[in-house]
Amino acid sequence: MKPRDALPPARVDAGALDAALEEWRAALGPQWVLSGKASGLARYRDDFAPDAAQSRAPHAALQPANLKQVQKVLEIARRRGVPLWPLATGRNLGYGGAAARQAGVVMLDLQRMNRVLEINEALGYALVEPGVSHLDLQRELTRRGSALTAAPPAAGWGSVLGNLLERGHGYTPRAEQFDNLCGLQLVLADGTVVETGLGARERERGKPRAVLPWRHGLPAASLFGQANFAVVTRLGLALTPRPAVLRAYRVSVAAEDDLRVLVERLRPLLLDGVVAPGGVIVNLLLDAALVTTRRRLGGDSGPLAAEARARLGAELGLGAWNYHGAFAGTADSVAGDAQALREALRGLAGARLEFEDGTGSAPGVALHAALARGVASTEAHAVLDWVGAGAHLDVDTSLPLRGDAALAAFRAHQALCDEHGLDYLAAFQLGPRDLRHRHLLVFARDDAQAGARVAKLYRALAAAADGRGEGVLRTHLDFMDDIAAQYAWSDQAWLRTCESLKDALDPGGLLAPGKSGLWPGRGGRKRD
Amino acid sequence: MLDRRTFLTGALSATLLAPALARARVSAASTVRVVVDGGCEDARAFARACGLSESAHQDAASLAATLEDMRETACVGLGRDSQVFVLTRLLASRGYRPVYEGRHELVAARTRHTLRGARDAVRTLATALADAGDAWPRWLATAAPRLAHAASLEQATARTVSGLAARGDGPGLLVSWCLLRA
Repeated sequence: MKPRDALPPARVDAGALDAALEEWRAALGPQWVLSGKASGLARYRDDFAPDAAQSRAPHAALQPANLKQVQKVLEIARRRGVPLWPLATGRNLGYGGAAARQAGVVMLDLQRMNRVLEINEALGYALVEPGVSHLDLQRELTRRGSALTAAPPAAGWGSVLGNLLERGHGYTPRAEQFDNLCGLQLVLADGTVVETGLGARERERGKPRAVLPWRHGLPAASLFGQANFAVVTRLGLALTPRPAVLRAYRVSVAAEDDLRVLVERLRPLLLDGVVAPGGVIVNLLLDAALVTTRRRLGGDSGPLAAEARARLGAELGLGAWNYHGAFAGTADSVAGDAQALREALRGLAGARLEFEDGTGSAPGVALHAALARGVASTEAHAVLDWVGAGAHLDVDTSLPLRGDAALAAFRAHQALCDEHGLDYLAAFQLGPRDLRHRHLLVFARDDAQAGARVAKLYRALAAAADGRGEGVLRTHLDFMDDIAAQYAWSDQAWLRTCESLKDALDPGGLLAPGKSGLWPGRGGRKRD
Repeated sequence: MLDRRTFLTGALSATLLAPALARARVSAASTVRVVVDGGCEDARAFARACGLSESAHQDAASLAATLEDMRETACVGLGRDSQVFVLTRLLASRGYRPVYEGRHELVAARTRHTLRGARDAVRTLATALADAGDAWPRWLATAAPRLAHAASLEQATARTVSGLAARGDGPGLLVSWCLLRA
């Protein structure tokens, strides 16, 4: 994967832009159209940009309050030919934050659309607008005394809708956010409002019971994840009742190479459903970074040596790998599942099983217990302190649920980190059949050289992962074209299919040009 | 060693926090939210100097809820960079703007302070911190509210070094701040 030059700004006719701004001010109210130096546009940046010199400055930002205003914004953008970059809360840190793919677009900021429209206690779902964060949803559930919970990601201050569409994950048994999708409301570039679920029925008239993600015909909702075909203005989200009993636990193994056997022991339990998806195998440094910093461990630069890592693990009570999981159900089922796990671990030298009892334990145990209960917080950001004023760039890949695959990925990433002078902080999330390897490249955000080094390392890691047959699942704005190019089988058949859809649904190329490597004009308008 | 991050927080009368607030944009009748990292001694010393009870612990989830409901005129504190990063952005959406930020970094067994805020206030504070030794968090608690005079963060930067290192349980970098409701 070769470094790419920074993209030029989107070409927008200055006269058309000025005219559009005037019309948007009239439509939204002048205070909801930000433009000019002192307007607050600085918010639309990537706080964790590895290449801080690359400008992603937008021309302006629009803050509509409702569906009608979104339609009006699109109508003006279409007529004036001004591209928009939709944004929910802009907290997808590690992947681009509140920034657009290229400079010169106009941000379509949906933060003011922040209503929890419905919580259906009996059927277990919520209808939320884009500006609702997991913290907001949790607060509303608490206010209502609800018995339901969502599956918040580690950083719970971002948009529920945005996290789901960007393929985030939680830590409850319904960890895969996209599996909780129960219908979307979309606005196409031509202003048409579409319901992907049951809300499309004439009798429901866009006021859906969010009990199914699909209905008769094309199951369309998944087309809108990580995509730029429409503006998503409402999400139906499945919620789950809190279990009668939830028992969080940690399995730690002593040696780094024990990752292989740990995955092998857990796999049958995952396939059987004894261990639920949502558990995560965290490496020593990622758990340790919740409570300590690189500086405290001596020396300010370079990766921590193996001996120092071992000492740190002993001091904090952490294994080289720490599987954080939770059993949920009735007292009997939880006891049975715990026994099955004990038996699966029998004979595994150096393995330790520890149940969370609320009295304090090794770093990460209490945090993951809270996440397994569906508690949203911002505690996980603590790992950024590892390097002082930290940022992270994430490598997020999928590999088969096999111990040898996990070990190969770990060794390759550790070796490249050593080569590039960075600590390896990572976790493997276990699905029923795959492992998600999420590697946080943590670097000092005020250090341009560190950012450049991390970008170089990212490219090396992504290329090596591609070579091992792993698929990158999410990526930062800087690498979207490169990662899209990895899915090139059959003469880029998938990308070409997506480009056809893009041009059919958004022929003017108004919405999020370049998102996920998808450009308008059959990809040809990339650098216009 | 704590197994997770905790915070000390409380809403204090501006006059209790510092008389200087009465002369600043924060009126004596208003209250100020104080938030500090509960896991390191320098931050706890700051909390004590503000008159904050050491029993006022919150975890990250309950702190976020507290901030969502915040009504105080100003928010001041001392904590880790990641906490300040999140806090300033959460409060920005509620109309709070930074008027002062200080970075207190452990360098070669001394604490290097880099302060940004109103020109005269940060210079006065820098002078005080230079002579403060390991009591710098107490000096900071006394002086930082004066920085609420500032209209923006960009007015001036002052740097100084305290003679003694921060206590050993700190992260190596602490950040102090003052946010004012617009």
